[in-house]
Amino acid sequence: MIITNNKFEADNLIITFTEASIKTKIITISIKDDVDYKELIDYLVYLVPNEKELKLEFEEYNVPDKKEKLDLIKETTTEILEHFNNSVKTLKGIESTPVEGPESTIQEQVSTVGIIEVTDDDLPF
Amino acid sequence: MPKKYSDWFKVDLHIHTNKSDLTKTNDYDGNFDLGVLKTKLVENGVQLFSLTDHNIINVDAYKTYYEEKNDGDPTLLVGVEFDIRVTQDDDSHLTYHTLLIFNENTVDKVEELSTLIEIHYKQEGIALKDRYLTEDQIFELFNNYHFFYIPHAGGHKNIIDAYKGTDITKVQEMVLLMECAHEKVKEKHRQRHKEGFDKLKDSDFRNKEDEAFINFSDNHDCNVYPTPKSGAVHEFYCLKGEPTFETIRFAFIDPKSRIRKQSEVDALKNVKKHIAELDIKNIANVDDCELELSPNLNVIIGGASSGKSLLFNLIGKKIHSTKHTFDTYKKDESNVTIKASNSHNLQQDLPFNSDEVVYINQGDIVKYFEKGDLNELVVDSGKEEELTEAKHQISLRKKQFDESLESFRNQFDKLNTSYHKDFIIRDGDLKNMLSDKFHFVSISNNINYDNFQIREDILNRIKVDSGDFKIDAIYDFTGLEKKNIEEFQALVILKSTLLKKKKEIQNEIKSFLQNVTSSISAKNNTLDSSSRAKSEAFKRKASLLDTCSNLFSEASKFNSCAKGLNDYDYSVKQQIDIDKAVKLVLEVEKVEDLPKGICSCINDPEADESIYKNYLLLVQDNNRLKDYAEYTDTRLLQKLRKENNLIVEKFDNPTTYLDYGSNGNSKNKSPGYNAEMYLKTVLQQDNCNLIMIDQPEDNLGNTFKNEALINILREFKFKKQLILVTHNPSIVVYGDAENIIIADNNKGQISYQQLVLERKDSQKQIIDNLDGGKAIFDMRSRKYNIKKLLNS
Repeated sequence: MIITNNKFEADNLIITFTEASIKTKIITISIKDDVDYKELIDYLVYLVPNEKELKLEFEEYNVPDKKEKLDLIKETTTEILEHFNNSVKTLKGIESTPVEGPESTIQEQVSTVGIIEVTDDDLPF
Repeated sequence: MPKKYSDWFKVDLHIHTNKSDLTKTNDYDGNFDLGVLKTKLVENGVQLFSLTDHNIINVDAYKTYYEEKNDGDPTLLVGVEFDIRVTQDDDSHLTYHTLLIFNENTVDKVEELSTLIEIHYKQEGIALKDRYLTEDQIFELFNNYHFFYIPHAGGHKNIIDAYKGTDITKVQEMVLLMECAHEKVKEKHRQRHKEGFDKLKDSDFRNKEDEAFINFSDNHDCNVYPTPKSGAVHEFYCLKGEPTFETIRFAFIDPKSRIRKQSEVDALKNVKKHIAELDIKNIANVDDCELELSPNLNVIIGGASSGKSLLFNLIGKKIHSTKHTFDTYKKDESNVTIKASNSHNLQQDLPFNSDEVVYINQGDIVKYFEKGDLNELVVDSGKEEELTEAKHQISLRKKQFDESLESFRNQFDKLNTSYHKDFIIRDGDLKNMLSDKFHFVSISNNINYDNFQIREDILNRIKVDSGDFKIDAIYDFTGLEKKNIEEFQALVILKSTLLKKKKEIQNEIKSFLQNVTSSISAKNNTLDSSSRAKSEAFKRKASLLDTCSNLFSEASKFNSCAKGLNDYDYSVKQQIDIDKAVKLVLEVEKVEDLPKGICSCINDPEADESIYKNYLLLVQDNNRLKDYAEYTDTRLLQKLRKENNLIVEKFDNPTTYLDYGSNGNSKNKSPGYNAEMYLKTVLQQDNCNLIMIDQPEDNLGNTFKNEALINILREFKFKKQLILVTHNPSIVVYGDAENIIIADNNKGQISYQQLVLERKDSQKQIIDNLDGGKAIFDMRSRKYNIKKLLNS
């Protein structure tokens, strides 16, 4: 499980991904005007081959004049992360042909399927 | 047993007896014994000889030999070695030695010639040891005789030294115009001799290639025969033909073909596999006969319907030539037998490998070149499969060309479609995009997905192929090799699993992105109207960007495609080895202007502009497609094909020609030239042992027949067996055929007889059977006939 902490801070949504086997990843999405999830989506696509689900955490927020917008953003973000979890579950649920050879080899190679280039090259893959 | 064709025999026309002691002091080195000499001659295989004493004839020796001669004994021609006196410019004298060999071999004639000589010297008052003759006296004395003049041309008492100090014209007359040969010029000195001699001659006589050189034993002691007086080892010379005077004449006329050292003859006789004999028996309307074939040039001559081609095809059948047409004669040849050179027995068949024989039927060569498609040649060469494959390769090239047109059409159509799409941005969109309302930015799908199908196909093929490979016994796999294959198969399975996993991941990523897109879209729909308007404006902007991007992308791709056609090389060349020396080439050459053909599909094309720029005109105005009221992609393809039909037709009818290697090719050459060149090339092939051609002269140019063909036949007849049917006397006479088989049809009964050129009675038959034969024989004789030349 990758702990995924979401919090609103100033005019940003800050999402922190934490797990023992990966380096902590922090994504900051501006919510001042339009909300663009591109960086988040790209990172999630990158994570798919790891087949590790996300454990969602949303920190409390109290901004009365923006409550409606933040609620909608929280809802949308949560849906996106749940879509990710559903995909990972599907992947894990697919019965694979028994792998001949060390699993770690396969796993290493599968991980290279990340198609979208991620600018952070410090990932453990 | 003597051969029925012209075969080699040893000759020695310079042997002394003790009679020479009368005219030269201490000339003979031992006790002369005719019996000993005869035994030595027989032991050494000499079949033609002469007793040539100095300026005198040993009549007794001749008489004894002629009276005791048995069938099969060596032939003895009357001869003398004369001292010829040459007056120098300062009135001094030099002498040289020359043999005179007379066309006489009877007691009466030897006595007659001896008497003539003795009377001459008596009348001149010349003592025995002072005897000499001048050249004029030679002609005066022996005017009524046929004789050969064989002067020493090297070493002691040679003709060149004798003439150096005086008029060289006489030498030319004696050794160039006469039927003569140079004696005593060592082989290693002959080239130098020729060059030196040439400097002395008048220009018209220089560079004669067929001057005859010959050496005899010049033996002076029968007990050590054939050792010469010098004690050196003697190597016999051989002449080709029967041991007769006429054979010598032929040899001196054509030394290249008819004079060889013994060692050379041994090499010539050791020729490749060839047909030695054909025993014809029990063929309806054909006389039984045993034909012996020369390893060199055999010609079959005869009148029309005399049975020449029947014999030719009979041989073809016996050697299993695929092209023989003997069966059309409807004759049973089962009792005909054939013998190989390396066999002692006659046999039913003598199969040759296809590459060992060149078998050309009458008119074949011309037929190959008449229509220019050369299909007949391919069929005759047994190369139909190769031709089919070559044509298949060209059809593939045609398909590629058509696919290129189709690809061009497709790319144009994509550009055209992109160009005619809507490019929409609405009033207020900019304002809405700049409003302070928020929306969720749509995600753009810019992922390049992998194509897994291709990779799956490859792995599946490898699985099947490696399985087949592993169990194929022909590879003789060792245990270790089998283990390697199994490890490779395991690797393939491993990679298949990996591929499957990656495919699942990719599919799930697609699914994830679709779900996210739907969620964002759904959320945007819940926003207030201003936010939705902003979202829609951004969607239209994104769409416009996509459309524009697509248009430029398609334009760029079409530009590349058009450039590809600008430089497109549709040429193709397929080669079929007809044999080792000749290749059949099927070629589509790049001669048509493809860009012009492409641009011709639109109205008013701009000739100086590229395909791309011309087709931008068609994008802008689809009505510019020539001959069509309205553009469709199908119509464009039809038009592209039509305008480039000349190229398409070239694939259906490629230029077909023969590549003769260093002899050039048949492209744009006349049928006659090609026939000549083809024949020349096949004759030059190294690997074939037997060449059979029915009437090679048919439709060949006269120049080639008389010069090139003859030269080639003469060159190759000593390297491979040639069997020709011919009407051409030049081939027979100038080709110096070793074996002449004359076919005769007497009221439907065919017979074959073997003749040789050097036999007088044969010459008459040959002349009677070859149009122009007499003229050719006359010309051949006249070449060195002084009387006729001086009178001409």
